[in-house]
Amino acid sequence: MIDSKQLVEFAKQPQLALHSLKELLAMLEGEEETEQNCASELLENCGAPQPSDVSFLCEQLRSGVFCRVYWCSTLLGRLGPTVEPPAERSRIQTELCNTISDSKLELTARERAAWAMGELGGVDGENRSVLEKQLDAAPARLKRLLAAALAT
Amino acid sequence: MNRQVPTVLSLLSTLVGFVLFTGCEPDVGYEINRQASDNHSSGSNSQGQFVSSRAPASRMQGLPARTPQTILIASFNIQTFGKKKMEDAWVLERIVAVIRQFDVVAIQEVRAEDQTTIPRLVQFINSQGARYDYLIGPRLGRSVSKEQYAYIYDTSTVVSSTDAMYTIEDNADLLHREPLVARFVTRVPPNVRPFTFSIVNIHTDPDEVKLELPVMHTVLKGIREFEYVSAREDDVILLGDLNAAPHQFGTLGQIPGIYWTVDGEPTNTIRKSTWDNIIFDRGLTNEFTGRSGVLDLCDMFKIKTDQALLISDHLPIWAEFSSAEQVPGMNGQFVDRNQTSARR
Repeated sequence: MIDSKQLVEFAKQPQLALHSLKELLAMLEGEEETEQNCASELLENCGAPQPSDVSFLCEQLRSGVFCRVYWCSTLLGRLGPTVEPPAERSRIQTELCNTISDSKLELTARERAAWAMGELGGVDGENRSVLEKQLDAAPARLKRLLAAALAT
Repeated sequence: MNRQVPTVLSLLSTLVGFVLFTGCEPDVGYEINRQASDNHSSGSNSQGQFVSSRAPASRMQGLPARTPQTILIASFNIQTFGKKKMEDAWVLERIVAVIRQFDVVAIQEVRAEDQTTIPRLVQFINSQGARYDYLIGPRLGRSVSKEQYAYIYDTSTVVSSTDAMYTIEDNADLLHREPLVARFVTRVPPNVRPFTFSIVNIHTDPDEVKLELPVMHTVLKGIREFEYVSAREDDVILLGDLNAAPHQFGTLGQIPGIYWTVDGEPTNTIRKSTWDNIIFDRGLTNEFTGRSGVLDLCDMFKIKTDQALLISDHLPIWAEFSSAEQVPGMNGQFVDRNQTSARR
């Protein structure tokens, strides 16, 4: 659990919250609404993760837990178009494509994954085919986000 | 009213439609005016003037002195406002003190499943003799943590009601948290035309600012048309946490006559970013007196940034308006209705 002293530190330097990613994701699933809200707020403000966090974030995408998928997609999207090398970007995009294609997931989590694809940009061949396949049957907002990702 | 009448409500389109959230009827503007007239006595002093019950303003914080001729409208993102802050007496006391500086406060980030948060806050505000009331919108959001918009207003200086409030219906799901619109009217002496205005309360998604800001001009334009057609209201004030500085406004900032009150001054508590603003058409809303600002919580309470951050990571922003409806060519002055008639 993150204490009040840490919270003040995080408010002053939001990126410090990234050091507590595991705790924040656990708090999202907690029963206490205050904890959920606190974790959401910190994740909103913490900015882009470190390249060293990518594997952990991709792993969380496979959890199937809505709030984890939603926030890990968000964090991955914040990496933007600068992810290097291209193979690493392709790996992240493949994970995001799997999330977008998972019809059991809540729509807003899939939408956030599609948004992240657009932020990363430069969708490569295989992942492009996956997105195009999703495009036809997608609801309006997801369709719009997929189209934006494909246009990058 | 000093605006050409739009003949059609053009925004009832595929982009953004409007559904009245709480049964806001087309003639609600007249209803509000009637209520204001009926309730005049409750906010007047022995001279027939209408005096705010807000706490004495502190000039050193940059707030103008309290007068019956003006009202102060504020926007305050109280960062994750819910159970935790309500249970912290130190924080609660300061939130109450902030709100009591203003006639209308548009609040963002009420995050509590328990719907007693805002009513209890208003109870605390009124416990020292004030007469504030509130409006609150539905819980909104795409993640587990939902938010509500709220308005807290001083009933001794302004009037509103739940019938005068609605949430924008965003059929295309372009905005994370659809704006909450509320209509207000000032309490003024019988010989003065009250200032009527609509406030659009918005909190954009910081991750999707690039997607949300480009549609904001359409949203504002649509609300302005709707407000004019349904309530003959030309004073529409968009405010809140836009997560963007004016240079990022794009088409919103290019609307003819558009004016924003915060430019170049940070609105976050650590004083690094401009996230919040108050935006309106300066030609139409000539009730604006020209005075506006950012309320520095550190100055107000003589506290350090660390302590101010316990209250919120945002600072309240405010703007001052005449409590009397203005005629074209006038700027923020208190105009007697008889004089207004004579000029016309």
